[in-house]
Amino acid sequence: MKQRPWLFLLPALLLVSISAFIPLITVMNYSQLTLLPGTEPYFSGLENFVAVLEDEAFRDALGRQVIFSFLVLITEIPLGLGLAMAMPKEGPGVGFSLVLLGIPLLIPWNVVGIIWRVFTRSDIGVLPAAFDWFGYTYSVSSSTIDAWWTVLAMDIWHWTPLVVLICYAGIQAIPEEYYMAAKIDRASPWKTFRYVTLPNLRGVLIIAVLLRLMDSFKIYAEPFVLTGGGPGSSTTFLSTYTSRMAIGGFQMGRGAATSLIYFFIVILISFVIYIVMLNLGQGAGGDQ
Amino acid sequence: MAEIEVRDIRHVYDQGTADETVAVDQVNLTLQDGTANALLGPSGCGKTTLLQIISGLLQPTEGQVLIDGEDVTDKPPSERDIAQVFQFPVIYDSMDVYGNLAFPLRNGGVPEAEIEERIQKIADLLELNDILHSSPSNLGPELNQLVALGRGIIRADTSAILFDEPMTDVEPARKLTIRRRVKEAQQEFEITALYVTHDQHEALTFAEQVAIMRDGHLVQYDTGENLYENPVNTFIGHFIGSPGMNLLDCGLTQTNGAPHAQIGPHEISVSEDIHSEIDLNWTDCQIGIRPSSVTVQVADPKEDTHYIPATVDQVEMVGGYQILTTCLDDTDVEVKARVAHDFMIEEGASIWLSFPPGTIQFFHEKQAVHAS
Amino acid sequence: MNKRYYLILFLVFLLIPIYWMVNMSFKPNSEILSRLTLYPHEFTLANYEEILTSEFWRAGYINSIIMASMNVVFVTIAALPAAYAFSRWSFRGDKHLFFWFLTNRMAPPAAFMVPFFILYSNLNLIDTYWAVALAHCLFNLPLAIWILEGFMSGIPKEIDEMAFIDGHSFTSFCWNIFLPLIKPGIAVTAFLTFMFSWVELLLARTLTNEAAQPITVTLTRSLGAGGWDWGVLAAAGVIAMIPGAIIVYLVRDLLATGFSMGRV
Repeated sequence: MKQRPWLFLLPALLLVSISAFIPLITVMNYSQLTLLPGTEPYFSGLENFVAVLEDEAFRDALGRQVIFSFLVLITEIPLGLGLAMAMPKEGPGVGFSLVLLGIPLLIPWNVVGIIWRVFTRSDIGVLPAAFDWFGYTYSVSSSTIDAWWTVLAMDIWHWTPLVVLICYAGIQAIPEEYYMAAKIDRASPWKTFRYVTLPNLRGVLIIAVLLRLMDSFKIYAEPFVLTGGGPGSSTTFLSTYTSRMAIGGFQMGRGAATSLIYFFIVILISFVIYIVMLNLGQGAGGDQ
Repeated sequence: MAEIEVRDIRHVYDQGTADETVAVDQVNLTLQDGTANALLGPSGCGKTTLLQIISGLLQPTEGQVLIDGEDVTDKPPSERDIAQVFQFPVIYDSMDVYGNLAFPLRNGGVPEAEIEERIQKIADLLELNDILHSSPSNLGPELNQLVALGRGIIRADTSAILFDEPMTDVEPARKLTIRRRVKEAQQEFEITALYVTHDQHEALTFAEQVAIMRDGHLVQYDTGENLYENPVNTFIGHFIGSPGMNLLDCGLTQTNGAPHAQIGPHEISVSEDIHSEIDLNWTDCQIGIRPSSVTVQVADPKEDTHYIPATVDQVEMVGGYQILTTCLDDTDVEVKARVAHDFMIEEGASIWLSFPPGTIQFFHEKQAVHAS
Repeated sequence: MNKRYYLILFLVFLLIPIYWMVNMSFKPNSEILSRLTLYPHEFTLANYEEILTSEFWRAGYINSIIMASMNVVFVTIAALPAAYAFSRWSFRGDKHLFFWFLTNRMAPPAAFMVPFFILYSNLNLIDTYWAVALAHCLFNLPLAIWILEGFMSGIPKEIDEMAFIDGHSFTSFCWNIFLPLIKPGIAVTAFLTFMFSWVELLLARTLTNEAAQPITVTLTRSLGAGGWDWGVLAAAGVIAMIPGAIIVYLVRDLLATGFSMGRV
C-alpha cells in the first residue's frame, strides 16, 4: 500500500497544478522572453533578470519591503500573543471576542485601505484633526514618516486579530495540568510563560510568523489605496512595483522575471525562519 | 512529613446553574504523618476533586483543609508545600532532566551547590543518573513520570505528595518497577502520600491505609486487611477482592434459639458475636462471604448439616486458583467459591458448600452488622 | 486583572474603523466630504437603498458568496485527504512536499495575474465562477492542509487502529469517527478559507468581467465622476462584512472548541 499516501494527495496535487504549477511554468517561460509591442517575442535568456536586479527602483522596493515585513513581525507577533493570553478561556466573553476579532479580517482589503484613507484626509479625517490638537501637522501625502507608521498601524489593525486567533488556539490546547504543576513548583508568571506557555506554542507561532511574513510580503491593495505608494515612492512595496511591471504590457517579460525573483526571495526567507524556529528551544539545562 | 486533615469537605461544581453537581460531600479524613495512603473508588466518585482540594488547586465550597493542624484552606498550592504527580508526565520539555529537577529549587532561590546535592540524592534513589542530561522528549512516559516524581519530592520542605492515577500512561510491563520506586521514595523521605487510583491492587500494595469513595462520599478508611475482612457495607464487600465478596439475599429464622440466615430451604448459622444484634423482623438482609472462605467438598457429608448442596455451573482459572460459580440447590442463588488449581472438579458436578460462621458478614440494609 | 484592560483596549481599537465605516454609511456624500462629524448629522438610508436596489451590487455579493463557498468546498475536499496523508504516514519526500505546498501561498498574486489570465482563457473559464474558485486554491489549499494536519496530528493514531480492528471500513471510520473528532478543526479551516477568498482582489479582478464579478471588484468600481462615492462605498463595505460576521457568529462555539481541543 505504498501508493496510498500519493492517492490521498492526488486531489490536492491536481488543484495545485491548475492553480499554481501551470501558471508558474508560464511565468518562467515569459521571464526569459522580451516582449515589445509590435514585434515578435524573442528569447532573451537571463537578460530580464539582470535588468531587474540592476533596477534601482526594484532594489529600493525590496529594501522597503524587508523593513516593512520586519516591523510587521516584531509588532504583530508579540502583540497578538499577549492579547491571546489576555483572552478569557471560557464563558460568554469568548464568543464575543472571537466575532470582534474576525470582523477586520472579513473586510475586503481595498475597503480597509479606503477607511484608513478617510482617516488620513486633511479635510475630513480623524487623524489630522486629532494631531492638530497636539500641534502636530499630520500629512500622509507629504510626510514619509506619517505615511509609514499609518500603513503600519493599518496593518496592525487589520492582521493582528489573525495572530491572536492562531495563538489563542495554541494556548487553549495546553493542558491545564502544566499550569498546575508550575504553580506547585512556585514558578513566577514570567517563568510560567517561558517554560510552559512558550515551548508549547512553538508550532503555532511558526504558523503565525510564516503566515504574516508571506502575507505582508505580498501586501498590495491596502497601502496602494491608502497612499498610492507615496509620498513619492516611499511606500511602494514589492507587490506594487511588480504589478506596475506586469501590467505595463510591454514589460511583461521583465514583470515575469521580477515575479520570480520576488517569489524566490520569499521562499528563501521563509525557509530560513522555518528552520530557525523549528530548532529554537531544544534546550539544555534551563537558565539559572 | 506532615499530617493532612480534611474536615467536612463539600464541593459543588457549577453551583446555582442547571448543571450543578455535588462532587464530594461530608468528607472527613486524616492522613497520618509519613504514611502511605490510597484513595480508591470507581470513576466519578470524587477522588480527583478531593485531591485537587487537598493540593490547593481547587477551593472547596465548604469545609477545611488542615496541614499539621494549620488551616490552609485559603492558601494557594505554592504555599502548601504539597507536590502532585499527574495522570500523564507533566514535564518541562524545554529543559533536560537536570533542569526539571532543579526548577522548583531554583524558583525558591536555593544555592546551586545545594541543588546539585539534592538532585544527586534523588537521582540515586530513583535511578535517574544515566539520563540527567537527556531531553524529556527522548524518554518514555515511565521515566518522565519518575522525573515528575523527583521534581515533586526534591524540595526539602515538601510535606506531602499526591498522586493522581500516575500509572495511566505507563506500560503494564513497567508498572511494577515504577511503583516500587515510588514506594521506596515515599519510605525513604517519610513523606505523607495519597495515591489516587481505581485499581484496587495498586491501592492495596502501595498503601498502609486505603480510603474508599463512592458517589462523593467517603465510605471506609481502613487497612487493606480490614477492608477485606470487615467491610462496612455491601459496596466495599463487593468492590474489594477479585472476585468480590458473595452477597446473598437472605431471610431470617430462629433455630435452636439462635438466629439463622435463610436462603431457600437452607439455613446458615452466623457468628455468635452478632446474635444479639439481629432483629428477626428485619427485611433486606444479606450475608456476605468471600469465595476464598467458602469450604467446598465433593463427597456427601451425610449428617453434617453445615453443608449445603449445590451444582457447579462454571469453572474458571483465575490467577493460581480455580473459581467455581455454583448454584445452591432448590434456589437460584449463585455462589462463587475458590479452590486450589489442582482441585478436580467439572461443570455440572454436584458439590457441597459450607460457610464457616466466623467468615460470614451479615448485612442489614446494605450496612454491616457488627458486635457492639 | 490589568491583562483584560489591554484586551478591551485593543478591541476598542478594532471597533473604531468599523464604527467609522458604519458612521459614514449613514451619511450623505455631502456631509462626508464637507466636515468631520462623529455621528451622522444628516442621517440617511440612501446609500443602503442604492445598494440593495441595485442589480449591480446584488450580483457582486451573490457572486462573492458563491465563489468563496465553492472555494471552501474545493479546498476542503482536497485538503482533508492530503492532511491525513501527511499526518498519518511518512513517505519519501513528505517533508519536502509539505514545504512545497506551503510555498504556493508565498506566490505573489501580482506575479501570477497574467499567467492565470492566459491559462483560464485557454480553458474558457474566464468570467465564470470556476475560474476564481479554482484560482484561490493557490493560497488557500496550503493553509488548509497546514492547519488540518495540525489538528489531525492531535488525534492519537491508536484511534484509527482501534476503529479498523473493530471492523470499520475506511469510509465508515472517516464519516463516523474521525471527521466528528476534528469538526472544530474543519470549522477553523473553513472560516479562514472563506475569509481569504472573500477578500481577495487581484486575481478576482483579473479573472472576471461582468458576469462573475465579485464584491471586491464592484467596490473598486465606485469611482464616479465626482471621485469616490464614499457613502455608497461605506455602506457596501458594511454589507460586505455581514456574511462573514454571521458565519463567525454561527460557528463561534465550534471555533472556541476548535481552539480548545487538546485541553484535558
